Amino acid sequence: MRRSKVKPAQSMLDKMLGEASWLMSHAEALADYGRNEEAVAELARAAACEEQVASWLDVAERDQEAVLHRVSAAACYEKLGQYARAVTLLRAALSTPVAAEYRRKIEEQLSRCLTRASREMRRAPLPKTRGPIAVAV
Amino acid sequence: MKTFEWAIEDIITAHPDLYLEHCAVMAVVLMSQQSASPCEFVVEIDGVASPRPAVENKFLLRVSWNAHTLLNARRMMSTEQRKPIAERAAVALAALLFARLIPDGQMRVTQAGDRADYWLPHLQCALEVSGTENFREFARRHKEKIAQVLSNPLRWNGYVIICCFDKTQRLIRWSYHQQESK
Repeated sequence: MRRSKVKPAQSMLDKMLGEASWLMSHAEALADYGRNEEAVAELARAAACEEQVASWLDVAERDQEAVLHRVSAAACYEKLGQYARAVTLLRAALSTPVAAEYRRKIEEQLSRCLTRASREMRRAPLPKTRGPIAVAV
Repeated sequence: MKTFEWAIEDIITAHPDLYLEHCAVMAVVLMSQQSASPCEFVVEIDGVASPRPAVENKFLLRVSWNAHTLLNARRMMSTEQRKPIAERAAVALAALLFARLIPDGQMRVTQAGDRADYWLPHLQCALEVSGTENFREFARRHKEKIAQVLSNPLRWNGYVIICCFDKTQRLIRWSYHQQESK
């Protein structure tokens, strides 16, 4: 019997890359159809998948592709209004050397997300960290 | 001139990593306004090597569709904006060309800011696709997309496909571009 030459980890990564791509294109299609709530949910799934794919590409030492997918995840989070999360991903993307023109684009995206994140932080109420302790009687 | 006739619905199974149903429908929105199935396009090729025999610098592409896709297209006509339709329709035709003429031509997409970037991971190539309904925009759009594909972040070589859905000129230009130094 012939054995597949593809390593299991490689094939899993390939599957994940395919999954991220499918989710992204499905989110786009839902938005085209005006099914915005479903599009947002699918975009959130795509973002999480892209983030995971980027980590696996790091492990596979495919650094440049990892940057691409991290930036893609950040673009999804930006669309979802999750700017702080996008900032974290973009900073991580910038830690890898990339072509100057691409770096400039990532920096622009980062600057935009930082502005929006700080605006959002000013607007958001402080999270409640302490409250009264409920005592069972 | 060599002629090929393919069904637009073929792209759905040919590209398992993309959701392309809506692109097929949008292509039919534009094509069905100009002709009954199949709709003819002249395809001009520049630097694209296909192992398929008889693909020369130019061929005639006849794109057909089924009644179900036409029904969906009619539903969409009243709701969609024109620009996304031409862009998505072009993605459908690009997907059809890669599925039929290029082995390992499966496409993937990532998000690049406001727009989508297409990749051909098995060929290590980037892909830029664009569609227009105005022939006067065609040459300019092709030039812009060449610059865009060559500035891809991975510095891969790239394909450009521009589709013109003009009533007087239905044309596809498909070109391959290499990085100057790798």
